[in-house]
Amino acid sequence: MNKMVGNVAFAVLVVAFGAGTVMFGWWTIPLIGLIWGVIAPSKLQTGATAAMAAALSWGLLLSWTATQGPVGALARRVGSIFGVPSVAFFGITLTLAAVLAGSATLVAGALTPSRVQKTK
Amino acid sequence: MTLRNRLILIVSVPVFLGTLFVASQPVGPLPALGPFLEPTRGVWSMAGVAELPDSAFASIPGMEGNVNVVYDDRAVPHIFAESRLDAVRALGYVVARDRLFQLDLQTRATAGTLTEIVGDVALSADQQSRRLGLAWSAEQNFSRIEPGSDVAQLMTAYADGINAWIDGLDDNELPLEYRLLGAQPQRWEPQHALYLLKRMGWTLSYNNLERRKAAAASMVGMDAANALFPVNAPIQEPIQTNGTDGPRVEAVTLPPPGTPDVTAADWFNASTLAFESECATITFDCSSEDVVGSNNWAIGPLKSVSGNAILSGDPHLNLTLPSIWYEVHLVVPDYMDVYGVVIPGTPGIVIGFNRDVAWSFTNTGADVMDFYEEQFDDLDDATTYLVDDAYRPLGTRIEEYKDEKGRVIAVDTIYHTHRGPVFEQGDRRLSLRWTVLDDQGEFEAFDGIATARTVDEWLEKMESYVAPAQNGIVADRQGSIAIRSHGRFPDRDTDRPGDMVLEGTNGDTDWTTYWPVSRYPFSIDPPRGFLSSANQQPIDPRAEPAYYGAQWPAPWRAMQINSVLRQDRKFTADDMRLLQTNAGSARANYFLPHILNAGERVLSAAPNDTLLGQALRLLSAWDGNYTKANTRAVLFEQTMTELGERTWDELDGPNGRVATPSSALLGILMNDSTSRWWDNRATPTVENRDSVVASSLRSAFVRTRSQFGPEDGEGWLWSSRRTANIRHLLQIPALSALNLPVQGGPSTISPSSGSGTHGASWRMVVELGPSITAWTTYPGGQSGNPISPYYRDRIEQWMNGELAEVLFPERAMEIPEDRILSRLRLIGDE
Repeated sequence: MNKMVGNVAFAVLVVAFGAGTVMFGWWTIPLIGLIWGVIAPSKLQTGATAAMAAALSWGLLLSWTATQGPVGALARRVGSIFGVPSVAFFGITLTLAAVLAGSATLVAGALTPSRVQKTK
Repeated sequence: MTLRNRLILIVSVPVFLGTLFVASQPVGPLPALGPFLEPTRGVWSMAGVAELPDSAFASIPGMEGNVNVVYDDRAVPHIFAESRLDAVRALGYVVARDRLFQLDLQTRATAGTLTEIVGDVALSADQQSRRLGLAWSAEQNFSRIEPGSDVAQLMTAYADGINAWIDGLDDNELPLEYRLLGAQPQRWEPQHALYLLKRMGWTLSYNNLERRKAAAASMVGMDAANALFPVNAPIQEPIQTNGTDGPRVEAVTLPPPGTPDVTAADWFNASTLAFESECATITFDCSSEDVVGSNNWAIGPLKSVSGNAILSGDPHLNLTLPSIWYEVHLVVPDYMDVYGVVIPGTPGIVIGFNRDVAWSFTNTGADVMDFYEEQFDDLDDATTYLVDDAYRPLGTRIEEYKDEKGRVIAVDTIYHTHRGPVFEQGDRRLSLRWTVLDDQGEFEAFDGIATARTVDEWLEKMESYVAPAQNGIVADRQGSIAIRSHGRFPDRDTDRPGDMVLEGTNGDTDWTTYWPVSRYPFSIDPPRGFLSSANQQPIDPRAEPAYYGAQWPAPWRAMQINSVLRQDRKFTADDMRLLQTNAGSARANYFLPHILNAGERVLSAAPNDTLLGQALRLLSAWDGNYTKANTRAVLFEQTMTELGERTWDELDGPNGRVATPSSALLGILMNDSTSRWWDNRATPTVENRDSVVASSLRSAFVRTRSQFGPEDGEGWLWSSRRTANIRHLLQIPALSALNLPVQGGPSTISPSSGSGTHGASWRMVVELGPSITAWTTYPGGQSGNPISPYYRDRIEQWMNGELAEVLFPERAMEIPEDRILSRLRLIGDE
């Protein structure tokens, strides 16, 4: 049951990160991460979940972008501006989303009083 | 808070804040990574606009009818409009669509507002532009244009087209450069078109004659300086035909080096900013004589295999990606049908052809600027300046420079006299009179020539042209050919040539009249059957002794072109194409026999001189061509460098050489074996021509071998020594095309400057038969988007000296379906 809840939460996060990015922009990644950190159980795993969800979300958006045009050529050309190979340029993009979401979740989770204490 | 949470915070807070920082703020060369990498709006989204869509639809305010734009398979837009102004609106739109960042950057460079997008690294360049008054004069010129006039309508329509594209810009259409800089495009004002003309004027008609002569005089005295930098070219192969069947080499004996002129030395040492050309401030390599070297020529029916006139043009400019040119075709039924290139920012075709005439330009290089030494009432707090014993009020302009965040980073107070902006040179105050700052007539001219039907009509419509002065060549379908140097040329007093600083306190030194068109250098339908220009002195001083300028490139390219066209044969359009990249060199043909003969004389007196013998053996085997596979041109060029260094040692100051005479003057000196200029002041012996040539040969051989390895190795291949380098506008290597092997060397028809940053920016051949056939290319591509397949698709063609035959349809339906890349329909704003 817990696993299923976790999967649903993960899917919701992926959708939330994706929708937030499409509708409002990149800054919704840390924002949603912070919110998730407040409402989710304070565990290291929570941060990892958020990070993976954000990376997957941006990965899916990049996949959609790839249907619109030559993202491989784009990654090669733009990556070469910064001296990184195209694969690394993809990696940096997904890592940015992951670190923003994961670290925001961990910060918010650590600052939020635990629910166990609240119920006492 | 639990210990565990504290530990998490200790680690995660810095990570979070650090990542948030790099995501939201530019760090060093990196843009803010959040917006930059965002998949839907950031750089990734540009993949969706890498190629033009099959069809698109847009509206432009003020359109009078509908416009169909068909992009052919070379990404050239063919614009079919119902009115001239609609065609210009569409032109603005398609240029902005492909070249928005370039448009904006050029405008900022002229306005002196680059610091607002790149920060204080551009402050010096911005100060140059503003102190020269480029944008200031454009604004003044624009304010004097009648609002409802033809040219005002033209500039406004063009601005409407550009702004329609900017206003409709989707997130994914924002050019890459803006994303890298974290900037946004600024709106295009009608007067920005004038900015571009001013910028071109700075590139093409700013000279440093006064400073160059003072520099030479500071070392060898004024008499010698006048001889080393003569007003007239010592080898005459003028544009206006002078009746001779070849170049006329002046019999000149140079006076010996004199004692330094102290006044000139003071003046030279104090002069800095006013005399810095664009070479010093932008990315130009000014060390070569052929930095900005253009060619054009035309043959009449007498010289043409087909009996049709054929015209060729290849203007040489700074090579950039995207290219300075944009190829386009404008059709307005029963009014205009013109094809050619625009510079993004000009509301009309600059070089091209219509159904009846074809034309091209080279830079004239006439002296259209003078400096005046002004006398202020107070050096530190000036309000007036003296002219003819009366003080006149000084104009003042306060210029503020801002950084990316809008903070003021510098302020300039710029004075103006009635002549122009004032430059501080130590305790001296110099004002600049320059035709580039005058009211312009170029857009009227470009608009007019687009519809010219004959050579005569074309010449008439070019009469309003002001600056930068250009040698315009034109041919028509009747087989007529003509060439004329167009511009506004001051009619100076003979005792006050333009290569010296003039007295500002004397009002008589002001320009009051200009050459009438009838005096412009001009030739039409000459008996020899061809015309050409390659930036050389346009008119033989024997035909027109009045001062016209003094900084003429050596006429080697003109001599090479004319030597081919003078041959007793007829030519095809493909011959014209081949001539554009001809590997031969009149310079090499001139110097090589002198060098070999001098070397042989020394060797015959010292047969054991093995170094000299080897150098002579290698050089005598050279065919004088600069093909990519040639392995001897490198030795010749090194010899020429050594020869120049040894010969002009009298001009070496404590900080290096102060000025270098032209290679044409060195050529003249080769005829005087015992001139004092051959002597090297650093040695006790007295050198002569032959000994200097011999030592140059030996040294060149040793240096070439030590730098590039054995003479039959790859290091001596010309293709590994001279390459073309086409840099992106922001100098980003990954977006540039570097180290491209090309055919040509110093002073060949397609000259290769040392750094390879200049070259043929456009090549065109047009045959004017019953119908028009044309071939073109340029080093780049139509799109300014580095992701586009049309960003640099023409470079290989350009490198190989090839051209593509253009589509020149009268109606959209004539373009074959399989050659249509994209369609765009433009309508008025409802």
